[in-house]
Amino acid sequence: MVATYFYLGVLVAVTAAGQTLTTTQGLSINLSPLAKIVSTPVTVALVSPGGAFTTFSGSGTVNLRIRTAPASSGSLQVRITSDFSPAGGPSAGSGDLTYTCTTGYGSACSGPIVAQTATQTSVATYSASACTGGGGTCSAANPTSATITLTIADRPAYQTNTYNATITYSISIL
Amino acid sequence: MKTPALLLMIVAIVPVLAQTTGTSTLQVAVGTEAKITVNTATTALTSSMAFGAYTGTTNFTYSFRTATANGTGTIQVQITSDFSPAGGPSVGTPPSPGDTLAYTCTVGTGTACSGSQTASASSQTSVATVGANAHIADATGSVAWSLTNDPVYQTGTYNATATFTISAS
Repeated sequence: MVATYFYLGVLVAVTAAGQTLTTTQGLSINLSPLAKIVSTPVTVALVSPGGAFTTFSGSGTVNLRIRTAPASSGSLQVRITSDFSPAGGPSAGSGDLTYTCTTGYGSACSGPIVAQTATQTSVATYSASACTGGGGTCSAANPTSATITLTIADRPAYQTNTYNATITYSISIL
Repeated sequence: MKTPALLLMIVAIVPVLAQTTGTSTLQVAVGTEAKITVNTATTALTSSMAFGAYTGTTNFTYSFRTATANGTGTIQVQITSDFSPAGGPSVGTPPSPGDTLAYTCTVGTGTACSGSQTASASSQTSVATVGANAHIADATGSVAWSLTNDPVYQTGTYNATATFTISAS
């Protein structure tokens, strides 16, 4: 873990019996690399844009905060931790689910990417010295956001029903 | 006299990842659907003998997803624009009794219309049906037309429009 230290010197003036005494207080703050997912959408509905047997698609925006060190980076990834159920419909495990990414800060994935059930796949990466809020080299927004647009081919083979899967977002400092 | 004291305070923010993961539910509602593509833009009806029927074939591709219980799917056809100009054949107002535009059906999957059907300008007539829990992707079918060759028709080229409708429930 790489830590960044800031030292703050504080001068305190004290008056006692006609004398002025000065004391110095040093404050040290260790700002460690940190990442946090602030919010995720409860449900992302994948709907058809119209027309038979086209695609189902929907978008979900993740809000997050991240602070990387000068020698570290960050990564936002996803994994389908529970595949679509009940049976008879689409299957992420069979490669039916793909996504593309957009980000308010950082570098979005180069999609479309096939979502996986066994491994995490990239949504966004954050470079060294990334930080959230304030603008400049940091993101303008706090929290910042990343959006994935998920797509499933609408295959006649799917049985009529409502299918649910769970997608898990993970953010980490590398 | 008090001695100045040097006090060093260190505040360390421990790298605690308060939340590193988050989850969402992906939800997709798969309903009944059907799609048809007519692959023959213009079907030429031709006759190979004197006053023999004019015949031709229209090809199409279709897909179905019907409900698992009590579902059904249909393909139907209607002459939505009768032959024009006047003086030739007519589906809505045949110039002679017995003049018809008839057709037979062939489908790769499902049940084709039975025997020879008479096309109508006022209502849809059957081409094919499928049952419940049908999952058909890009199957092919065709309609073979047969138009009475009535000597009363004036010479000319006549056009009509046949509209295919597919539905699923």
